[in-house]
Amino acid sequence: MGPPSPRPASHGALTMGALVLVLCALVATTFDGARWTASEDRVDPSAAAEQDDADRADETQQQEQPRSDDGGDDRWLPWAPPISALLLVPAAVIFAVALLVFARLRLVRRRRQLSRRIGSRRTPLPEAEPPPEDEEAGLSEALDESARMLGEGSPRNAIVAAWVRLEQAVEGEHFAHRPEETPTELVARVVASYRLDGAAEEGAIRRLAALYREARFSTHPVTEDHRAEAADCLRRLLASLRTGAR
Amino acid sequence: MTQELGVADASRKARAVLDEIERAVVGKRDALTLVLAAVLAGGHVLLEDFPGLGKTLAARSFAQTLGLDFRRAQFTPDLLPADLTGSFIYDQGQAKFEFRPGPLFTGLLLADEINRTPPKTQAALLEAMQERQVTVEGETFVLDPPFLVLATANPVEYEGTYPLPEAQLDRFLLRVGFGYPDAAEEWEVLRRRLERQREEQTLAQVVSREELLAIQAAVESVTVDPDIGRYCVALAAATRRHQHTLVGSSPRGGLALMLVARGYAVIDGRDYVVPEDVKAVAVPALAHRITIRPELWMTDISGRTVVETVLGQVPAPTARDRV
Repeated sequence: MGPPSPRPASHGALTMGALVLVLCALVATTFDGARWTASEDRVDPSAAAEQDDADRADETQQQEQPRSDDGGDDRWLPWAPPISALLLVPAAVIFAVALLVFARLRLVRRRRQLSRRIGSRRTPLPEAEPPPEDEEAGLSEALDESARMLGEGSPRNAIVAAWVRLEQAVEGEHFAHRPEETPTELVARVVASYRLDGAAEEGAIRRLAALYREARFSTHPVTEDHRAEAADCLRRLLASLRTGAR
Repeated sequence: MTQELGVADASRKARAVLDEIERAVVGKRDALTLVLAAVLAGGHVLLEDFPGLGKTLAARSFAQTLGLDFRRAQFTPDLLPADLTGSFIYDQGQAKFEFRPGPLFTGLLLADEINRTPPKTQAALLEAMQERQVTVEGETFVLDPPFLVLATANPVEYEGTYPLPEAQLDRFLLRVGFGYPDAAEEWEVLRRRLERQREEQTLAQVVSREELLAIQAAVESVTVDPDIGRYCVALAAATRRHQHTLVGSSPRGGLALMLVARGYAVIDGRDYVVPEDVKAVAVPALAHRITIRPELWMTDISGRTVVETVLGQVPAPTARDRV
């Protein structure tokens, strides 16, 4: 029942961006061209308003001159953008490439972020490979220490302290501390990582986690029975770890 | 008068209810547990999924097994608020107006296809759901506890539906989807129908109304560690800061999280809430309170994915600082 991974439609946005860019370049080119001819036309009405008929006749003559030149140009190059518009093209290309690279980088970064986030939650067993021997030896020491801590203080505090020691013990280079994890999720990772194949060992660590939760989050009395049960769980874990090492 | 009930007894009865409902609704134990957790917490539930996945059947089964007075209101486009609340009718014999209560005056109201009725009538449910009272022509009538609304809705992509307004959605403690059954479960549905040799499914009453009230009282006695409460608050707040949300969960979302987690703990037989309970109910309790940014409407991002991301980021309560 896994939910689909969240992935905004970046490709669509990218294509859209490129399209807009091309359109911008086209508009810029045509706009520049239009202004070029319009600037000549604009002389027309203003001049007409101020000058008398003779002058106007003169001007139309003058105007016809460049227009005939235009006609000559048209014959050879019917669609010739001005130099300034041509300069826009490389600028637009550079801009487009920069935009593409930037979008790509962002996409990759976001994907990495998402996969890290989702990966931490949905696939809790990425480091299923067993930790090295010396780490297991360290774990067995920590279990010993945990058992010792279990004997000290009130049962509630002892169980919590023993669990926290165990939590810290399993953490290492192969087993990162994840603050967002609940004890149940941690146990699932430990079971997968530390060769706890036997149902007895798995049961022991699950029961220990349940005892910890009860000691940590309940307000009803935690008795010596709870302490004894936790000690029994620890003993079973230790025994299985030692036989496994042998 | 409700008798005192221990958490162990409450848990046993709750599980018996679930077992009985599972006779009718096949293979949906997790979703049913969530619904029951919300019912035990005294909240209303929105069952949202495609047609034919057993939403109405589940709602009816809850009414039967919980021994509640049950009314069903079919929400249609022409349904009016007075059709739900009831109205004053002139009694010629006595020459005065008399109040005739509508389907809201019940123990469990099945609001079927709630998104087929316009917002005016949907809003008529607001006061009843939140205040557990109904006001008609200036006169207020109190609804007897437990008043529960189980509403069903088809996803809004279907034609002729009115998406529930945010304020209305926020009133639902949970939004639960059933999802499609797998092939084995689907065959089980068919097989049971063959075995039954009739269409209707009747379930036995497992608890009485008084017992349900006693179980709800037992839920109120469940311990919530301050760190668990702060965890609920942090989860709700994190949905507000998430990059994909336009509007995150209201503080009512954090409250819902805590209340349902208590019900969930009781069903599991505990008198204390653990972080696992909160995580288990987080998606149905928060996802419907989140509005996603409009520019993400074509993506797979939903309230659900936001809540799941948040669950993978907010630190869970620990004991490290205490040792």
